[in-house]
Amino acid sequence: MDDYLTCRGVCKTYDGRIRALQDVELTVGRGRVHAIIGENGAGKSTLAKILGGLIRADSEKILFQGRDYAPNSPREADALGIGMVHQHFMLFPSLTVAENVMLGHEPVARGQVDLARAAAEIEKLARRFGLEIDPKERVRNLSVGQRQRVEILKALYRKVELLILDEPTAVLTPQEVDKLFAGINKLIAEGYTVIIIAHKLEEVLAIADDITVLRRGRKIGTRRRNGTSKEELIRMMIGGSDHLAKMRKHGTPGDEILVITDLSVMGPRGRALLSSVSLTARAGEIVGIAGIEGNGQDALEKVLAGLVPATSGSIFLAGEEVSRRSPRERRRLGLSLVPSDRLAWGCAARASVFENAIVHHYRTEQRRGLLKRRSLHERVTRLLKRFDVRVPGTEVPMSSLSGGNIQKLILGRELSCEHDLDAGRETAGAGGAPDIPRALVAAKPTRGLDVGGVAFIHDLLRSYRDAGCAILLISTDLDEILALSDRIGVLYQGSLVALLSGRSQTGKEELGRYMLGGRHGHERLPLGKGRRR
Amino acid sequence: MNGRRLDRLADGLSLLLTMTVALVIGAAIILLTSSEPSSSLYAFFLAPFSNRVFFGNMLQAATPLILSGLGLAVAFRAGAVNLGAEGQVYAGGIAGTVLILLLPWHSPWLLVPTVAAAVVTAGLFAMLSGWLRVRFGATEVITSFLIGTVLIFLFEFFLTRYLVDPTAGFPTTGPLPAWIRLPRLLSPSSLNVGFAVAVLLTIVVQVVLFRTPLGYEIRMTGENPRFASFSGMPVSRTFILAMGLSGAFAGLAGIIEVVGVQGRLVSGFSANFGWNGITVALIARLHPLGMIPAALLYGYLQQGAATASLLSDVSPRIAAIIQSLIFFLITAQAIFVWIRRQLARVEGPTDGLPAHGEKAAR
Repeated sequence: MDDYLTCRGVCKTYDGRIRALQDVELTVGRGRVHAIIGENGAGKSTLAKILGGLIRADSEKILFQGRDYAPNSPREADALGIGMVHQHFMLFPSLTVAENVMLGHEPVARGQVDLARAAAEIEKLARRFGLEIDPKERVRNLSVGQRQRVEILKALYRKVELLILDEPTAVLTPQEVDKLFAGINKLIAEGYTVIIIAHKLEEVLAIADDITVLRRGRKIGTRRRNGTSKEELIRMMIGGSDHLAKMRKHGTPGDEILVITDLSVMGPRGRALLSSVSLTARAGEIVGIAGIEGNGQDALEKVLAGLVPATSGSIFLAGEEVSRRSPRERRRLGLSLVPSDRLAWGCAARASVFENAIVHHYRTEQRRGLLKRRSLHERVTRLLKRFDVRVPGTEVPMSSLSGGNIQKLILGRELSCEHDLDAGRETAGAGGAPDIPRALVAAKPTRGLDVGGVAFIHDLLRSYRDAGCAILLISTDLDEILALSDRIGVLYQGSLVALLSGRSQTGKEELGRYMLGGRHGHERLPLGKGRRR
Repeated sequence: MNGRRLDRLADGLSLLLTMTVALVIGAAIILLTSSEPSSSLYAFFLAPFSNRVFFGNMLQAATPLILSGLGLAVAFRAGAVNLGAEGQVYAGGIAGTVLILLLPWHSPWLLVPTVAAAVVTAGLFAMLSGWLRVRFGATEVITSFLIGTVLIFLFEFFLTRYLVDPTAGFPTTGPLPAWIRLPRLLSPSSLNVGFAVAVLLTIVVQVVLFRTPLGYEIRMTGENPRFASFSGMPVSRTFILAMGLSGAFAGLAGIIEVVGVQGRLVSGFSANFGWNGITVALIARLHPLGMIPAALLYGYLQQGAATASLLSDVSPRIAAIIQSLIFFLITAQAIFVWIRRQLARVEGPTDGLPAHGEKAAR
């Protein structure tokens, strides 16, 4: 391995207390794909940001092409030859591809921006690397995968030689991932070097030549792709204990708890956000709803929660029609919800852990109009312990917790939401125990969590399924859907285009096809145009 | 280290610093303008404590501000901004007075329906703004301000048209009957039992806000209305109720001023109780118990300005300038802290409630 990019002793501390990186070293060879992997909070994004010039390390010794490398801004990093493609795209939707790409580096001819020249240059670049895109198209009309290509072009246009891709596959469908990898291979063939930040091991093993594992801000080791295995990498990432994917075990479905029939939701300006969705979740099963972000998941989540009115159709909860009922009445009937955006909908970030935890019990735990604080506190303490929520105290603001702990608190709170056993018409057998919800709608329950957190929450969902809870799992993470679901529905442009058994050998490829609009395997829409209207 | 605690410590220190700077500037102006600075300084800063009249008047000046501040803090806590409190003070004053003038009985017990009329009338006008927000997405900041402004003009209209005592020489009703007046404390100052009521209500609001389900709903609705609605709280109802409470407290401040201090309904009787209530609420950092010191600070400056112009060569205008300057600085610091906290939120203060042009889900 030559010394194309070498980092020594990289340290970074946030707020003087959170040690993001401790004495990390990294050697990247020229013309290779180097993956940096690790759990959330392992420090991989911090390392990428330091290399990309977004933040400065506390101490570092970085050599790039034999010279000292310490950029103070992304622009300096670009100039030195290292460019970064962010996980969250930094594009102007209203501008064209060409305008976005050349922004800040406009070619000038006679005092004017030479747009035509830029467009031609960009088209040439795009063709060279197989990143086909129309430079005159506006970014808002592009799919996520296409936008990512624009980001990559942006870096290439600035003549960088080393590209850092921060979680590039997180937002892509399997087909788009394949295209991205093909593009990366072309880059390598042209002599570029790529650092890829990732957490999906299959993908890392498919694309990377070298793999460096970080854990809690320290480097654990670097492996060649051929000299390692998924199992070894997992062990390196989580440190010994064995969290290997469990064999899928399926539930034994009972009564129909959550029945959705012909449910439609109309958005502003008469656009259908959800059209005629019919679905049933029975006690003791997990029904996964797959789909690319923005195909009606949000509307489904909100209409079930009672925050958005159903335009037509009905929702039955334990035999009661609830589509016109208030959120509170639905909860009384045994519906619990984990919102997809935990900070916006799932908690009050500045309020304390205690205040966030008591939201389903403050009404019952009162005496003569006053909150029974002691018994609420006992309840919260039990909740934190049972769901392994680690907090420095119950009075600290919610925002001081990590994403994983926030999510565990929300999930725990929702799962210990008692309901009125007598509510609902078909109570006999339909309710299960009073201390678990009848139905749980969990939207992206593990978004952004580390491997340990994901495993914990998946186990939790399985055990509540086994206890008789009907779970509707709305997720854009196919691995998650496949790992948990007894049945799988696919949302595409607000319609349920497929409902498959999770027991059959439903593969990612097949689901990916449905997610892009392939209807029941027959009339397949052209790939890549899925999100256009 | 707890971030919130650190935040509070920094806030406290900056408040202390602001107060010191403000007082030093105030003292400097006196030193520059007065020919006998030491007695003027005494007259401004210490005289309010020197006898029972000055002291009583100081407490009295704080009374309406404690009340309106309490109400506005409740609204702020629920994420509602009530800019109509000034009008609601007048609405409360006139509603109560009209009831006194209409009812044929002569009994101190009439205070009960009088106060009720004031509180309900003012509360309903504030609730109207809350309802407009929830139903039509019209922001309560604007509607409460507009409705409040109209209320002030309506007050003047009804006062000068129907209630005025033509012999008085200025727009006022005749003196209200003695049996409806609130008992005075620390006579001959204008302090009355209204102050005790305000202190009592401070404790009540403190308990309601932090120890009851309703207070919890109000606070969570303000912290994150999306979270509140997702969890099944009646967000719209809570929002309207909090607006109503802020109006009710403004109305109470108005009627207490009428039956406790003025003894008649006078044009312009509210010395900006509604507006200053906002600053008092912000200085108190929306904490009910903080309302008392914050309002007393205002009362102290008011009384200091009065004693300075009475007992020294500081002219009333200079005294007013010093009073405003100090209050201005402290308010600016409070507003700064408030804005910073608003910005620190993940979401805007009222996301989740219908925004402009959007209709409620149900």
